[in-house]
Amino acid sequence: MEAYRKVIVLENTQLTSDMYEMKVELADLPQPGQFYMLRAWAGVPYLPRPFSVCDADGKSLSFLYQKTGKGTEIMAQMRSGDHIDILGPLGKGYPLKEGNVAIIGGGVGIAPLLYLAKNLEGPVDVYLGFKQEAFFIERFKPHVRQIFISTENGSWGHKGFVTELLTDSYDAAYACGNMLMMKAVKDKIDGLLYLSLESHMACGIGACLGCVQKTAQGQLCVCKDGPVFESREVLFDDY
Amino acid sequence: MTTINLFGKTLKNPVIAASGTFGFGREYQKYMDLSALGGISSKGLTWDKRAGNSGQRIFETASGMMNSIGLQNPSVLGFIKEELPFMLGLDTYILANLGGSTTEDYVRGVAELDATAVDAIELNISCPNVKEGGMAFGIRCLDAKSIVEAVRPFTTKPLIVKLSPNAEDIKAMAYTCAQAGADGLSLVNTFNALAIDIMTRKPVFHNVTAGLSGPCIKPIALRMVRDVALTVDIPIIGLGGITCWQDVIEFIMAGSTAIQVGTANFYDPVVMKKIILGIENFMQKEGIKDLEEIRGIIR
Repeated sequence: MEAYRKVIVLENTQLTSDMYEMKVELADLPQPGQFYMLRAWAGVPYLPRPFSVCDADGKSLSFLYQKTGKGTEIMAQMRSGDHIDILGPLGKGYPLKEGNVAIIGGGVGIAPLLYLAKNLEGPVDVYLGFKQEAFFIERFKPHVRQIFISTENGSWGHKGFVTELLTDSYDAAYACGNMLMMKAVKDKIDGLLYLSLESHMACGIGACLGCVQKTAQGQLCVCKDGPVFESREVLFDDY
Repeated sequence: MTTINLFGKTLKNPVIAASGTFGFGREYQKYMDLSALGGISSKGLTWDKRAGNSGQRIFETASGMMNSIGLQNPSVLGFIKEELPFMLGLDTYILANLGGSTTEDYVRGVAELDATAVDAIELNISCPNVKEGGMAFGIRCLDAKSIVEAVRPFTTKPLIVKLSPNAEDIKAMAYTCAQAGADGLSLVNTFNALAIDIMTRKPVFHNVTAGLSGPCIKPIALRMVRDVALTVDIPIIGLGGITCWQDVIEFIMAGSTAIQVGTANFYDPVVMKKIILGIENFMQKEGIKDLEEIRGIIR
């Protein structure tokens, strides 16, 4: 298998004050929930960064990212025609279940959920939680039955956390967000629930052991054994 | 010819995967032919299985990274049973990297590994991330001497001692280990370092300090390799921030017989393949027939 591939940036769109979507030319069709390591630098920063697949159409892939540091600042300045190095697809994605399905995402954790919604038979209800600025709502609409929205300041939808709107009435549920949000989802959903975890990682392929997560099966790598885990497997000791 | 002689064995090239950055090789085999490497040093082993450290384990720095993995490993016996058969199936030089908390653990580990077909044992007295990881033995010469002398009678395999750059005096440390029976030295392991989260007003790592690696340490590692090469006559495996073939040539000119690539494997899983090709091209262009011609030319 090829390691890093150099691909062309097709579009790089700013969605909110700090949220961006980068579309690159690549004919992969990854599983929903899988991720890629990206780098557009050599030296400073040094390490590549993991991003889940936000959308794919067989010709291009897109990644949702939040400008939070030096790496994503460099990415935010890239224009169409620029090159970026990419490794993947990596990890294990979401198993696709039939029936009534809930998708729950918080902030940049929405990243893998659009591509998931597109690939589920459904019907799909989506719960999106934001701090202040909502985004991506229109993109979900064609693929879901209902959209529930919350913002922490009440500027859009329910004021508070999106987990407050969630009901345990689905055949399967999928979540991605920070660990506190996912813990709240886990507390609410007794049935089948898949979580996509995030972690600091250096290699993305299971070698550095930087991204281990405590699970019922022992310590597993978020990158290689995940990033998607069944919620019953995940131990939230550290949160 | 990129081949080198290390303890009487021929390696295809001087490029060895550094311990802790390459697992036991499995994760990289889908990207490259592992048998093209000069060698692989196993993930650091300890007598007892270790879960590793809690909390954040990786933190990026300018031109490098800090890690606090904490020697997560399947134990010496777990390695021999589960991982070593895979490694021995590769046509490359295999080093078993062994850490420890007590003299007894080092001795037991060396004795078990001696009974296997590994090519060499790399004694890790330099892991900064666990109290029991061995760095305590790698700071003062007397402590290192006691460990090397204790394990020496338990193996006839080449015994390489992996030195810490945190040693009080790297030259004295190298001399002491050689006198105590080491067949070779590898240096340097990571630098003990600190990162602070200014918002939580706490250290980034649960362990407070962690090991710094990557291109940022290369010039210091290179200086230490030369210091040691001018001090001892046993083979040196140089490492510390190597990312490209030019770095490798520098380490050889500073006195290394072989080198190890660590953190760069995280940046690019096939970096060693590119490095080996680069060394070949350089040798051809410069008319170098054997790397021995340039080894240690920086006096």
